[in-house]
Amino acid sequence: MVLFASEPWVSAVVAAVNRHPDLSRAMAGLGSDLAAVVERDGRLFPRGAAVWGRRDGGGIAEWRLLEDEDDVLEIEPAYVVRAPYLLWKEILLGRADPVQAALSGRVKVKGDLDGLVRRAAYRYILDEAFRTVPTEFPDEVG
Amino acid sequence: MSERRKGIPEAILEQGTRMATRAAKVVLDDPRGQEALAAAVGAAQKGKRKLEEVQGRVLRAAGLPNKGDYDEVARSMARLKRKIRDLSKQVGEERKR
Repeated sequence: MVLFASEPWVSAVVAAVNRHPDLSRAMAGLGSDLAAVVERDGRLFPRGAAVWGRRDGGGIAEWRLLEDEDDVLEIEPAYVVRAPYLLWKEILLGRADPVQAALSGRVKVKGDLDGLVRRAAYRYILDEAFRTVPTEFPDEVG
Repeated sequence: MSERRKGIPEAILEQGTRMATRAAKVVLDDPRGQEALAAAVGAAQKGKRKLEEVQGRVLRAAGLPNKGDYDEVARSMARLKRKIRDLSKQVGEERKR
């Protein structure tokens, strides 16, 4: 089991996403980089987390965990996707749809949301990647 | 009694959310629906940006800071915070030597 939002977890998810044959098609025409922010939850996920990634050549060319979520303000990526911890968990477990969550404002997206909506059909790439990484959620760690 | 009053709007909201979710799923599963939804979202975002631009111009004309000014301050703060963090690390490493 790999701890959610840890460096090994992000590394495993990125590797799984990059292995997918449909990835370059899904990413074509999107902005060059993205940051995902897991908002702090005082009780369940007090430290929060933020990761930044850049695409190149049809895959995720580089990524890093950010020490502080405010680093996103300095980097100014093309997309910032931000949601509370429990919602990320629901999405990862397949219980919530990320596109619907973005449209309803539960997931906050900075950047061209229409580009992401157009790629909603490629959601299976992320779903499959998440399924290959056995995730341990911080609120379930004993 | 209050339980009952509270329960009905909640049930309506829940039912509404379920229906909206089903409707969104139907739209998103159909490529034409997806394209229409994307176009609508794009137009809404463009409209919001335009509105912010106008608001910004009005505020600037009134000599007040606008969203862009606040964003710039937030960026500068983030940069400063990162530089302090980098310097603290350097000092820590120097001390170890």
